[in-house]
Amino acid sequence: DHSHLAATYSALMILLTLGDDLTRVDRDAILHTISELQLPSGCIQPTLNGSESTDMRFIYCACAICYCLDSWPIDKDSLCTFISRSASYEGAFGQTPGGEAHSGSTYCAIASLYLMDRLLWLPNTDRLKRWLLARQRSGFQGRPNKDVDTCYSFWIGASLSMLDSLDFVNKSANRGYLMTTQDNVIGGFGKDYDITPDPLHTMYGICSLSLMEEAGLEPLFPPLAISYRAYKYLCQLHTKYTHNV
Amino acid sequence: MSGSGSGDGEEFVGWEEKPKPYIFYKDRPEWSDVQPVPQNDGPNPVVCIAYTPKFQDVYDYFRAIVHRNERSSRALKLTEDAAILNPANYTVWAYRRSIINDLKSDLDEELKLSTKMVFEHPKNYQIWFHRMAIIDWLKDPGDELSFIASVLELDSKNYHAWQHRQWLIRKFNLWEGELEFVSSLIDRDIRNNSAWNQRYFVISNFKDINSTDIVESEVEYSLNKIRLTPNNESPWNYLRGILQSQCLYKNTSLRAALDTMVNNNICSPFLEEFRVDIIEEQLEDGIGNKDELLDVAKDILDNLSNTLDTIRVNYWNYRLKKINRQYSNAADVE
Repeated sequence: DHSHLAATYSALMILLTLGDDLTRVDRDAILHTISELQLPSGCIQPTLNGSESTDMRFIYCACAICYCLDSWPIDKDSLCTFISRSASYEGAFGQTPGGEAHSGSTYCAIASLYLMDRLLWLPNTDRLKRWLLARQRSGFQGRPNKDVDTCYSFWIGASLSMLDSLDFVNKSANRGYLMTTQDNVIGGFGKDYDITPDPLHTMYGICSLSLMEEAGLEPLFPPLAISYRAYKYLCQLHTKYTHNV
Repeated sequence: MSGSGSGDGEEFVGWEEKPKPYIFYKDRPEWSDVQPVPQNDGPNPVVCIAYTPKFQDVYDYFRAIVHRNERSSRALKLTEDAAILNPANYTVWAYRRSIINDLKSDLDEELKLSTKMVFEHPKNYQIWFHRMAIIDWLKDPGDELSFIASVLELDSKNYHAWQHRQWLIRKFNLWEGELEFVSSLIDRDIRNNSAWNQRYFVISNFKDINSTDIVESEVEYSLNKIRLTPNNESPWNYLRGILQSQCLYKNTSLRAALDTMVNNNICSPFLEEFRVDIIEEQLEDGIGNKDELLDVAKDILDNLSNTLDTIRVNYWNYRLKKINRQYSNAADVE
């Protein structure tokens, strides 16, 4: 398989969570590839030879990787311009300019800006917060007039958290919803009530509960969806990097 | 065509073809020159996927083909088998494209295969990307707009379909008729937020969104839909979008329309939120009677907190505190 940003992002997060010191990761190669993956539009492709349309997901993966490896071999300005252009008339972000505002791409946009320390590039924070909050019905939906789904509790919850607005959420309604998507026999979370659980919805269900300070769960670092413990470990690793790039 | 065996020993078994028995690649004589390559799971495999023997066999041969850099018609067929088994395998699709490019394969045939796969996996990223690549090569949109419309028939909010549609329209300048298409979708489902987004896409790119006429007619369009479904978020978001560069309180016809809704006892959190926003604009610009405006705003926000939109009570309380802090006399602030 050709290397892929999403796999690279996931692998790095897993290694951090497991306490690996990343010395066996070919940092230079990854950073070089990322610099080649950026397009003139500012957007970032996931692979060098075409796998899927480029969109906000890979901007996020690239930012998470750069943050993790503590080096930014990309043009941040053109990247941020692309992100800004992807804000729709609704005040939240689509996958690409013109795309419908969506909870997933909105998380990716906010987290990317957060990791680049450029939250000030957000076009209209008030409208964005309101759009995010309006997604709550019990749990959260991905777009207006669509069904709620467990994972949106994370995409929206984490977005609001990064904007210091998580307190506006009705936490008991969200928690109540999440508990209905939990399988009472085998555990885990499905995307909705009475749907078979899967690892993705289980992870994001737990992440959302963690954001709401559920007892027994570690605190979460929202921009990377890793535990705060793993995040602090990453910060320690950063002090060991030499800045060659 | 009636049945009865033909002379060549093959039995006619009705309209469906008798399925040919599947032969593993490792048992196909025409593939005997190829050494299959097993997947490298590393020295300590964890959470291994339980591939079926058929899957393993196809992919062992796919890996072999890639290693040899073979781009033949048998390799093309192999990539089709591999893609059907795992349509999300981007390496397979990328390799398939390189074969198509080398062999100069029939792109119309490829488009037919793509159509079949889109309907089987309408939310698969790789399939849509492959389709985009084919159309890019063809340099011709053909019937693509109606193809996308038929995918939207199955799921009118399919994000991939809409994204593909926007790409197609931009690339081949297919703006003509899109507004009508959007309007027909909104007529069918007034709550289809994707259709509303597409409307903004057309108006902002193809029409002049800064023209007063366009803005007025879009405002009227939104208000008409709002009157039909006042609790539908989509037209309200669209209305705000259309007016985002404007001063709301100066728009007298808009305010009249909203007042009429209030007088008709329309109960909608979106209406109420809009009213508060207009009041805040006025307060910011020092227009109107500050105390009266504040009183109305407080009533609305209380109503939202307690009745109309209780799930967002924390947010409405915050708005109330904020508006008090900013505009109330010191003695009035809680």
